[in-house]
Amino acid sequence: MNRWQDDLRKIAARLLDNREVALVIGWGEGAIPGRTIPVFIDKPEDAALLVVNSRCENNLSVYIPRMKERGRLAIVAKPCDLRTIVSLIQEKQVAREDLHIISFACSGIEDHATGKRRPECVHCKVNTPPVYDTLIGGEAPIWQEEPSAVDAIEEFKKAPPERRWEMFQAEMAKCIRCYACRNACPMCYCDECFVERSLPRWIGEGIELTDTMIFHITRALHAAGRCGECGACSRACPMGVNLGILAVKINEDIEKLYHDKAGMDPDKPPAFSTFRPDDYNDFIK
Amino acid sequence: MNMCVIKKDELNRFLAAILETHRLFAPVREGAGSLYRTVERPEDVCLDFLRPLRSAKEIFFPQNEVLFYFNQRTQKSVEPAKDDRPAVLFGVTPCDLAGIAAQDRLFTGGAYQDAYYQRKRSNTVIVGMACPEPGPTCFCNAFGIDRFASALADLMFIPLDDVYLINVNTEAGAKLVTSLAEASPADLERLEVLKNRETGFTMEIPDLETLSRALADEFDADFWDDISQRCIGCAACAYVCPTCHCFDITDETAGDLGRRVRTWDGCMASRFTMHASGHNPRTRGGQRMRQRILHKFSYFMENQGCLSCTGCGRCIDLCPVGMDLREILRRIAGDVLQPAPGEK
Repeated sequence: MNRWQDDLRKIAARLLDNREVALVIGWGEGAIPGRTIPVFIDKPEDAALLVVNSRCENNLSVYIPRMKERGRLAIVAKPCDLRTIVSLIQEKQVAREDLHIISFACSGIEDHATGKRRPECVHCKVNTPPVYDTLIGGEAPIWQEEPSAVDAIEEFKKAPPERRWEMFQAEMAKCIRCYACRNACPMCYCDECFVERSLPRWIGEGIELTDTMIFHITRALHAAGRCGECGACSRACPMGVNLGILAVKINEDIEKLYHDKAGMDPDKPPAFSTFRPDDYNDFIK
Repeated sequence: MNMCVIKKDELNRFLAAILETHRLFAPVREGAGSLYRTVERPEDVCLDFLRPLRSAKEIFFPQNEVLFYFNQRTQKSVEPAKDDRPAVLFGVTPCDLAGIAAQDRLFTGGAYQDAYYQRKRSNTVIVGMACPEPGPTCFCNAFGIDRFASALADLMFIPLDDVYLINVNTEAGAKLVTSLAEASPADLERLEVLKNRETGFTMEIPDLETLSRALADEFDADFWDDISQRCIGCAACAYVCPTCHCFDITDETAGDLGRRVRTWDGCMASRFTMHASGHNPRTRGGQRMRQRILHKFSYFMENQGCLSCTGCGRCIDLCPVGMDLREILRRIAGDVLQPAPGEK
């Protein structure tokens, strides 16, 4: 990994030095041991702050819409983060040529609290980057540990609808409506979210279970066909709500029904932005 | 007052006795941590964690509170049924005790008398739990918080090998421990050893009272935009905070019937200050960060006489992008407390 990091620092310094980009968005070490943080590098000499390791948990593409006014951006991205970058390009939130994408093969990141591989990473099927400008490192490191016996995402996928509803409600009961999930999600870039509209008010402000569920169901449906399964929402949650159960299930359905995987090809429109005569339409009776 | 002692394996019996006459709130296991909750069975109380995921403030100032129900046609309103039986809030960490002290100043102090808060607060006996070993993000030492004693707690439990020593601070507290033995001189000796043990606070924090005075002149400082750069504007920090107290009040209606609800609000959210006119005075992250820091470390001191932070470290632990309030304070202090070049 050290060589990967050295390569990254050299490339970042060069891009800034040549004025190919105005800013490099990457990860650096924070004050808490083991917890990396997003860093914004605009001087070649600061490129030495950049790190790459299995603790690089934040999906940095959430910063693209607000940082793009500073000029062309270089961004360091895991393959899953890249899928949300591709979705942002597809949705015209940023132009492909305004980004220099630095990526690498990834076999999952660890939870900074437990040191175990994150559950969303266990389910990841895209561990080589679909698009990039610079590829650093080589083969993805192999995780030694076995997947844990209790896999909520797998259980949710297989469960009958009644059980899924129960599992979903149990997760929702933990939610405190802080919107960390939404704000950490690169695809939640709406200027005004429906939950904050007051005329008309769509849902109550508090933590009544129905209000909480409407927020999460609406968000999940809005992200359907656009979600890169990066797991930023689950990792952001201060209360440990497993939002992956809904996201992974919906994404699998989209793949099955519309033969599309979000964020793989910047030149292709997302599943729900286009219509094909052979699209699944059995729900029209 | 005096100090008494209880064996750790007798704690459940002590709590069961409380449950006969009081409602009981205490930390209860929840997912990967614990939360202050209503307790029905003593064995549900969970003291395995450094501190609960959220602070104790929600016992008196819940995230969601129906103030009253109304009928728009008849113009009548009715308050929800309330449980006014005496309560005990057990196992409160020193940082959360300090949080309650700050909330008391605001909600029951001079300028504002909050009936909804007072009603719950006034009939609750508070039992603190000393904190022998601070965690990696803790910085309560910067606020002069005594981790073994608190004037706010009616009783203060101090874990010591196989027993708890109990500091009895008030009459209300004394009534709960009438059947317990007094602490022996040997127990008190062991307590002194525990108190004098090296602690693991990991970061040096600038003097916050000095910083508080200096911040009064920093409204237009350049650093606000810089320190807020990576914040994504959620309310996680505010909602887990023991002292954040901003709230919203909304009417939820269906036809003629409705209810007025008070809910927590958080100042890092971009629409926190959105006016009905559509104007928003805080459009930038830096302006919102400035509000958070100045409210906690300047305005609250000016208005209520104490800082609105207790160094519990929850906001640091749970921030989705690793924002660290300690680093922010150090950064600001570096800018505003250092003499400019050429000055003394």
